[in-house]
This record gives sequence, structure tokens and C-alpha cells, in this order.
Amino acid sequence: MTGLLNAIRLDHRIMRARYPMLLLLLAIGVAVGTLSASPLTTIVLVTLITAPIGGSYFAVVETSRLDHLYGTLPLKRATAEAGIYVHTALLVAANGLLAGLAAFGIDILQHLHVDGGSVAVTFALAYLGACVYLALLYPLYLAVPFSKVYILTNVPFYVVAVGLIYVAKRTDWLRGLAPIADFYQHHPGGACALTIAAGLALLAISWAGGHAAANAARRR
Amino acid sequence: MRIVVVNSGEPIYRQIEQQVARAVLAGELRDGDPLPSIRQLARDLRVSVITTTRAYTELEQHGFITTVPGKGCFARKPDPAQAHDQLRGEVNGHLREAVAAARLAGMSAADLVGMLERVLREDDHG
Amino acid sequence: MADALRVMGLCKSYPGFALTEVSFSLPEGYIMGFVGRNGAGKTTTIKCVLDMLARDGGHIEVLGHDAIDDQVTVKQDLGVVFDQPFYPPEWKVAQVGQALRPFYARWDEALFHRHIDRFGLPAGKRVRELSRGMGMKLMLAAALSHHARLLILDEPTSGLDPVARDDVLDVLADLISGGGVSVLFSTHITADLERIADYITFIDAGRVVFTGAKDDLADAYRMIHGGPGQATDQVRRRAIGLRSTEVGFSALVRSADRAGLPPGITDQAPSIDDVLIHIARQGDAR
Repeated sequence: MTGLLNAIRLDHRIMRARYPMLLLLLAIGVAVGTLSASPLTTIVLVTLITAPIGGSYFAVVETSRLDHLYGTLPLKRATAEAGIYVHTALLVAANGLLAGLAAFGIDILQHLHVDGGSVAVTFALAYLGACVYLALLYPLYLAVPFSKVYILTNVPFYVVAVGLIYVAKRTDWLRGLAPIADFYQHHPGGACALTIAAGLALLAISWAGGHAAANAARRR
Repeated sequence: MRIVVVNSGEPIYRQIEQQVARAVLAGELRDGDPLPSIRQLARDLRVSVITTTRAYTELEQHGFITTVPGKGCFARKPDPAQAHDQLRGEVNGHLREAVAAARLAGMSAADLVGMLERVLREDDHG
Repeated sequence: MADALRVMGLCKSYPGFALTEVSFSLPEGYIMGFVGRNGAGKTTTIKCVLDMLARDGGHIEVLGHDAIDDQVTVKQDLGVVFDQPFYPPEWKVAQVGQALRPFYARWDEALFHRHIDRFGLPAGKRVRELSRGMGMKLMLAAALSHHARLLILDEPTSGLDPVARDDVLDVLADLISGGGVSVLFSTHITADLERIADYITFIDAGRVVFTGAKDDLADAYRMIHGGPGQATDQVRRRAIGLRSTEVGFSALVRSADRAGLPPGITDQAPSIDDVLIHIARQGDAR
């Protein structure tokens, strides 16, 4: 556990210089939400566009040869990898929650009457989306130097978008969605918890895959 | 005690050995005087620890120093026979060098012996 | 005598290059020069010791522990320096110490500050503002601040001016004089090692060509020189990296091969450079 905390703290120290970027993303989300009078949009936007910030971690690792640093530290590789996941997950959560607060602000200022349940559910779903993004990309970043794959940074969005369009066109998704929407409406607390747990579970699976991918890469 | 090491082709451990032996024979190092430790000497001379170890081993074998476990290395009053051997060894070495140089210069054995006699005479008068 | 580092039969292959059965041992308390030209496999070997690259075969032990399976324990006692600083460029010198401290049970903050003072590194200077020599000294300061028992330096002096190189050797000489630290120093600048190294391991094209006490190198090989006419077939057969000109030839030979060569051929103890160059030339010629 100490190892994991140390790893997270190290990632924080590595990423610290890039935190101002998070505020910028927050500002963008707030601007959009204010202009469109849709505070929920703020939450979704901020949470999702914060996810790619992990890419800058891998970029720094590559340009400053931080793999040498990790190679010398008494830290298990799997722990170091877990640290990256946890740290990014925390950053996304933090920015998303700030966005939630901002959403309330917009709501109050614009007299929109968005209820707490909607905010929570929106956050949870957006967070799940961010987790899907990270779960897809991090194993790749762990195995391949960032400069070789950074063009794929946005691919998960496209994949998911295409997937959603496919589902929308081919299935009667509205009907399937109704019971789910119902569940969220009547049990917001439980639904949020489940959603976030699902996101974290995806990250855990991704971590296992990323560890294996990184190992395979070291063999080369 | 002064020890200087040069890139003369002579193995460094032998240079150290000779200089310490000479210091002991000349009385600069008296019986019981402490010597720098093997590692300290290696650091000061910027040579390897194995080199100084070897020098001290040779010196101990020839009776010029003694090692007390836990305390260090100390000079030892030389046995006159030993001193004699050491110095004879040096003369021998110098003579060999002189012979090699003489050959290069194209001097004959007779030339060389003549030169040796001249030097001995000068030394007697000086 | 315990070994600080024992590499046994290390194998690692890439397309076009392979480490083949690399084996050598460094006894505790001594300095080993790990010598070879660029691309010979020094960095690859070191990365295998650190498990930055997965080895294909062989075993590695550091201070009595398996270097791969026990790496978290091992790395507590290991200090590593590479040729370029491996820290985020915006970190300040003092922040490097702060970042590393939680990982090491024996991190000595006061010692870290003594080292950076001694090396003339301002605590507030950022990593990206450090010159090459200062960057290397920063890594060295960090490597020396958790009472490491084995120091691995991968080409720490390449790109440094002679003064900076001398500083590094000073630090290493001091370190060794205490007796509790062992050093593996990989370099292609053999002048650095000529006097201070106790042991040498030569690597060429992924294979160990010689490993042992540096003084034994002179016992194992001789540099021979002769006139142009003396480069007989016998000489050519025994010569390693023969270099022949109008005014004569020079080559390395194994000491055992020295006897029986034509008279008039002079020989002397080889410098580390001599061995490196001639073995490498021989390898190229094949």
C-alpha cells in the first residue's frame, strides 16, 4: 500500500506542472454550460475532456526518460502502473466534481432548477465514460512510447461515437433504455455508486491488461 | 612520507613498494609509525585498491611493514639483511637500465665498464 | 568474499544484436570498469540488471539477492546514474530529493544537501537549466543519498569536460575508500579507469572478452611492436587487431602466444585502451 501511495505521489509531482491545464478545461466546460444554459453539459464536457490529460504524463515519461527513474526506484512495476491509473482517476474525479459545483453555480445564476440527483447521475455517467476512455488507451500507452501513438488519443471517442450510432440505428435503444433510465431516476444514489464502481472495475481490468502489455514490450 | 606514482611502465604496486621500503630503510618511517590504510592510500594516489593491497602484501612479506588486524598497517624496523637485499635489488635494477640504455646508444661493454669506473672514482672524491 | 554483483550467463537478443552468455562478478568493496565501445552491450546489460529490459536467459544477483525477483529489496541498496538526468525538466534540485525520499528506507536528507552543496548545485535551479555535468552530478547526489551499497554508473562521464570527469573520479575514489560501497562504472573513456579500477570487464559485440582484475589484463595480453618485415604469418595468426604501416606494425597478443615470436619484436603491458581498440578491430575484421 505504501508503494502505491508513493507511486501516486510521484505521479502527482511529475504532473503538477500541468495542473493549470485542468483549470483551463474546467473553464471551457463552464463557458459552454453557461452559454448553452445547460449545467449538465458542463459536467459531461469537463469530465470527458479531462481524461486525456494522462497522455501528457506518458509524453513526459518519454521525453525526459523517466522510465530510467522508475527503473532505479524500489517500486514494483505493477504498483507504478496502478499508480498512474489511480492518479488519473483522481484527477478526472476532482475536475468532474469541480464541474459539478460549477454546474450548481450556473444553475443558481440562471435559475434553471436542476436537481441534485440529475447532477450526480450525469457525473457518474460521464465518469464511466472517462473510465472507458482510460481503460482503452492506457494499456497502449504502457506498452508503446507515447510519441508513436499519440495520434490515437481521440480514437476512443470516435469508437464510442460510432458504436453509439450503430446501436442507435440498429436497435430500439430507446425502449431498452427506459428501464435503465427509470432505475436512475428512482435510485439515484445506488445507480451512481454502481456506475462509478463499474468504471473503476474497467480500470482494474485495464491495469491487468496494461501490465501484461508492458511486460510483453520489455521482452522486445 | 612521500609517495609519488608515475606512468613509467613500472607497475604501480612496485613503485609504491619501493618508495615505502626506501622510507623505512632511510629512517623516515620508524618502527611502529602508522601507514595510511590500503583504501586511504588508494584514494590519495588515485589508484585501485587491489594495487595498494598488493604493494602492502609485498611489503609485509619482505618485512618492511606489519598489519595489525583492526588497527592498520605499521612500519617495521628493517632487518639489516633485508635492507641489504632490497638495496642490492635496486642496484641490480639500475644496472639493467643502464645496460639497456647503453645498447641503444651503441656503447660497447668496455665503454660501459669504463664509464662505471669513472663514476665510482668521482663518487670517491666527491 | 561476497559479491556485490554477479551476472551469470545473461542472454538478451534483438534483431541484429544479442547479449550472449554475459558473465562477470564484482566483489564487494571494489570498482569494476565495464568497458566496450558504443553498441557493445554495456547499457543493455545494465538495463537487464535493473529489469528495465526483460532478459531472455541467465541469472543476476545483487548483494546476494536475485536482482529480478527481489528487485524492490535490491533497489533500496542500489544507486544508479545514467548519462542524462532522468527527472522532469521543471523539477528543482531540492525537489528531486523530496520526490525520492519516500521510496528509500535509508534516505538521508542532510547527506543529499551536503552532496548538492559539494557539487555546487543550487537547490532552486531547475533540472532543465543544469549543464550536462551538473545534471550528472545531480543523479550522483541522489544515488549517494540513501546509503546505497552498489552504485551503477552508465557512461556517466561521456560528454563531460576533463574537469567534471575528474570530479566524478574524486567522488568515486572517496566512496571506495570507505570500504562499504561497490561500483560498476561503464564507459568507453578508458582513461578514467586506468588507475582507479580494481576489476575490468570487456564486452564486445555482446560477448564478454575479458573479465578479472585489471592487473591481470597485463598478464593476459601483451602489446607487441615490430618492424614491417617482422609481420610474419605466425605473427599475423596470433595478432589481435593487427595494425600494419610502412614503419612497422602493432598488435595485441595473448600472453601465451608471446613466446616463440621472432626476435626483435618488443612487447609491453597493454593499456585498457589498447585492449579495447585491438579487440574491437579484430571483431570488425571478422
